[in-house]
Amino acid sequence: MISLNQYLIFAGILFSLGLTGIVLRRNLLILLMCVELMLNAVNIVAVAFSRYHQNMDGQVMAFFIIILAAAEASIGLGIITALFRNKISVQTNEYQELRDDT
Amino acid sequence: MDYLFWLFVILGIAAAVNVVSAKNPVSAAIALVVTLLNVAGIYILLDATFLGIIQILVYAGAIIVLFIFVIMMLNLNEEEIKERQASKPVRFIISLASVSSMGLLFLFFRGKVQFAELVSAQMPLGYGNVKAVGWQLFTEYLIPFEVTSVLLLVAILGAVLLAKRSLKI
Repeated sequence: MISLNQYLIFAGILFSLGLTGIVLRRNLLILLMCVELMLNAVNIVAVAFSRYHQNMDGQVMAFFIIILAAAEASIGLGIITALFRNKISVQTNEYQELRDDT
Repeated sequence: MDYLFWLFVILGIAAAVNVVSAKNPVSAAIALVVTLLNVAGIYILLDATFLGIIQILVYAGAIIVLFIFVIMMLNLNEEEIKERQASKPVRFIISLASVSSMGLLFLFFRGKVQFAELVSAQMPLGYGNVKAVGWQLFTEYLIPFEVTSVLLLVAILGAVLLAKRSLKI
């Protein structure tokens, strides 16, 4: 029988994979995809707890998080295209103008 | 239903590993679609049928299409895709640290929090369908729901402004 713990552990694994990608990767597009992974992990937790408590509040929360993810993806991809127009690259180590080198 | 859960979990984690490790953004996007579809399956196993359908429609149908569209528009060649990565031991340590942080969290909560089994077959009729979620959205969560429309409007305006060639209006 699958209990709540299995769902939470699955969500934790997905979240830590997304976190690993954020820390490890340098490609802006893949960074955004890793953010989507982490948001999905949070959604699984919300839906699992909503099922556990037998009410719908967690599902509504997950619904709002999906809306937020859509807005975030559109803005993030807009920023990536604007950056790409300035400097033909999607690698984060090309964009270090704000870094303090002292 | 147990084997379905494990199928979704294994496929989802394998595809998520692929998202993190893929060289090419296109293959990462395709792997992300597989992960999102498996998460939708998990939602449906949790009796959140409407949310599962929304997940497929919005994520796989809209967000991933947006990603693929931008990837195609940028038209990256081989050397633009190639990343200047940290050295291999550093990468190994970073990934070990971020994965084991989650493991430590589980070890910390083990035994302190006891969750009962998810109660099966006792859900109220119509739990998680369109009517129930819509009722919640338009009664208890009406104001947050209306605020999300403002959020989406701001997102549209921001995306248009960012994509403009010059900021002069």
